[in-house]
Amino acid sequence: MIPLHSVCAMLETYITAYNNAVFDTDRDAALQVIAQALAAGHTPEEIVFELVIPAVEEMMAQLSRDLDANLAQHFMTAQIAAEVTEKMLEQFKQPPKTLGRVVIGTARGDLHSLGKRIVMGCLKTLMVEVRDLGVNVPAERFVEEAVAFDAQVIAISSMMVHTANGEQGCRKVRRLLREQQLENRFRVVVGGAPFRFDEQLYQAVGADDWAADGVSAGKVILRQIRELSP
Amino acid sequence: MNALMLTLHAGEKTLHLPIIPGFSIRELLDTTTLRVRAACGGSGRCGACRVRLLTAEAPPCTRSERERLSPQLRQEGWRLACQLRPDHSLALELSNPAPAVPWRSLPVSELQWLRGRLPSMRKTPLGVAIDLGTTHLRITLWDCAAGRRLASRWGVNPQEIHGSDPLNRLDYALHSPERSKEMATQLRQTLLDAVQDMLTREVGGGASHLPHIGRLMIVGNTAMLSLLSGQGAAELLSPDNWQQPIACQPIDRSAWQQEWGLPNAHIILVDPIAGFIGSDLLAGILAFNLLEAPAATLFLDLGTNLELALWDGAVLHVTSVPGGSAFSLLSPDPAAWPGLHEEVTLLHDPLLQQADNANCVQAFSPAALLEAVALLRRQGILKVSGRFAPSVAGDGYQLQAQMLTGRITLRAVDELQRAKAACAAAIAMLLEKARLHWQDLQNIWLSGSLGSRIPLAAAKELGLLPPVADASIHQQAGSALSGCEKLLLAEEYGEILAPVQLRLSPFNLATQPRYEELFITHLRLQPYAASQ
Ligand code: B12
Ligand code: FES
Repeated sequence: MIPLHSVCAMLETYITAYNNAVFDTDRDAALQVIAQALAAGHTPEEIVFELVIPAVEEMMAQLSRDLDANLAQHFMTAQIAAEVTEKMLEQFKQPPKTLGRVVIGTARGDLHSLGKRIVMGCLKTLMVEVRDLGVNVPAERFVEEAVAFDAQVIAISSMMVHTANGEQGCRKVRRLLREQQLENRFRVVVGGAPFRFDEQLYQAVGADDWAADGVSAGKVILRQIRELSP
Repeated sequence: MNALMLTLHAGEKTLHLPIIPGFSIRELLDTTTLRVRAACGGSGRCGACRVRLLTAEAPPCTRSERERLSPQLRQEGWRLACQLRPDHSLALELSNPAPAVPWRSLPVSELQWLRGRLPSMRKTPLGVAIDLGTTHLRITLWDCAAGRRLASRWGVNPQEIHGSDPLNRLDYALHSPERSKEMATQLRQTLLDAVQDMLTREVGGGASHLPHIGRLMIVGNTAMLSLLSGQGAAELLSPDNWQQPIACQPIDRSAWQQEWGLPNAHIILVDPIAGFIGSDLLAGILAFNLLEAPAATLFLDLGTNLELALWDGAVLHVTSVPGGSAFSLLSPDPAAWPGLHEEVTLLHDPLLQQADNANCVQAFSPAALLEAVALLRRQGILKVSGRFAPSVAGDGYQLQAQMLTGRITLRAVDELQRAKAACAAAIAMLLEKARLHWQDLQNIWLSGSLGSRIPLAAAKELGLLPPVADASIHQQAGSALSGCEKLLLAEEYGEILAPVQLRLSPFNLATQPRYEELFITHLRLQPYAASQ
């Protein structure tokens, strides 16, 4: 990382412009800011660590103050950040250090993939390695893949009441972890509309934590990773 | 010209109702909750529908009235509501209304004129057509032998108490066989209740006519059919079955005949198309004769859920999407939806901003919400992103419609964006699948509780509908029931269904990564073409 003050001051204006574009869900304008920053000579590493990540962090703070932030904004935050990060990572001189590993999928019976996509976008930007298990994922597979990927967190998205609260989703993942004595190895984090309606539901289904939106999901998952491997 | 008005005093209640020329007082009241007593179908034979005139000017008594009402009664102003067809504004007193029932007649605008008779049903001439909706039940009674519609009713689906969302109800039913049975029985009982109400009031003789019912035809969305029959709920929840027909047939038809007291009725549940595409869509396709429409005709049945069919001249591409809470209708009575019949006005009074949030916009109709959001966009108060312009202070906007003041919050706008995106992206996907462009669309047929009433200009400005000319967009309520009636009046209903079934191509949007992309771009509050 290059903590040059002048560079940071320059980036400051880009961060503001970039965040405004994202907040207005204007993807083209956001990508243009990135292009300008690159053209002005900033390295891919700077773009990610000094611009995109602070922007996401700023967005997290902003969205947690503004409870009415809408879905389009969450999408844009995650989507653009992930897109830019992915492109920049290819050009990094050295692969960056990852902060942790997560397997993510939608619960058995659920094909709603959009929530998972936002969460993945945020995690990737925050330098968390993500293995996407797709949709309609059986509980057994969550556990097998978490072991194989040596993940710290199993993230389960459920958009419907019966997939969030039913027997085939998180409840079963928890049961399998207990049966296979893996409870100390993995944390389970859930999310999706039913958990927003009933804020106690995550405990009832045996999850360790939950998040109301994709941007705070990044924060919650990072916290779980840090708690597990300080 | 001032509209003709009927003023009705019934005990403590006073009702004001516009008069439709040619309609009897009884017909006008049948669409409200205050009904006259009746037992002869409005033919002037039973004399039960008495009302008293409080105004002098009224058309002269008919022959039936002269026969049923003594000169003294007539002198005192008594009339038969089924005979009196006012041509002036009137005030009436109804001292002995019919006991309150949860049923009302459907407005004529929801009923299609249909031809067809079944002489073969002479011995058991009565037929019943039922559209099982998530929110409402719609039922008509026919003399099939004569090809005449005798009556219509609509009321609330009693399963509402187990959740306005079909999935919550399925979840409840799947809890135990007892619960599933309880829900199915409750629904069947309600349907019987409506049939009896029609028999009593329109045919006279009530339950004694049940054996004359020869046919009962039922269409509905898959979840409702499955909850009625107590079959298929578990299959329905499994994504593997999404694209396949779900069997929702009663296990024991004779048990239903017995339960309903219909010894001679042929009970037909029209099978749904697929997991979440019901036979109500199939019936709508029949009602609109979609196979005979020009290629590139889109049919949208827009209620709590959106079911879509796109006819490309060879194939009927069909799918469904959930709208979510922005599109679910809180009040079962469309007439009571604020903003449906009146202009929506926006007030922006910073003092009111602090007002109680209880009347938030979701107490309004989805149509009013669309109208209001379009208005906010037009005035530059709301941006494409669904955020207020920086100059706007506060977190909500006052909305007034039909004497009710409420508030549009950004959360309500977000809900609307999701519902709109889900629908618009579904339209875009179907067009792509048929290799068509929105400019190719010849016609859009809109039906369903929201579709038939949706404000077109607002829907186009916000991108819920493609920018097709108004002249090519047709709104018609009650298409599923009309299609069901067509099947009821067909000698071999299977022969009518078969050609449509042959052309169907169900399509599950949840398996399309492209749908995800389209959903995201259509979240923006801008015309459809701009999100493409
Ligand atoms: C788009 C949509 C669809 C699309 C999905 C496309 C796709 N590829 O994802 C399609 C059309 C395919 C679809 C299908 C169905 N749907 Co749907 N759908 C919706 C809709 C409109 C939006 C859902 C969505 O994607 N939201 C976007 C997400 C990102 O928003 P979010 O919930 O705010 O997510 C945030 C948080 O929850 C959190 N989060 C999400 N996941 C996770 C995970 C973790 C680990 C964490 C920490 C956080 C987190 O972060 C997210 C981002 O900020 C909702 C209604 C609504 N207004 O929400 C219905 C809804 C979810 N669907 C519903 C239904 C019923 C269905 C169908 C059964 C209906 C049908 N006609 O087929 C099918 C079922 C398919 C299946 N088996 O899964 C119901 C569920 C009802 C219930 N009581 O459970 C809803 C609520 C609509 C309604 N009736 O009100 N649907
Ligand atoms: S006389 Fe009017 S309904 Fe019978």
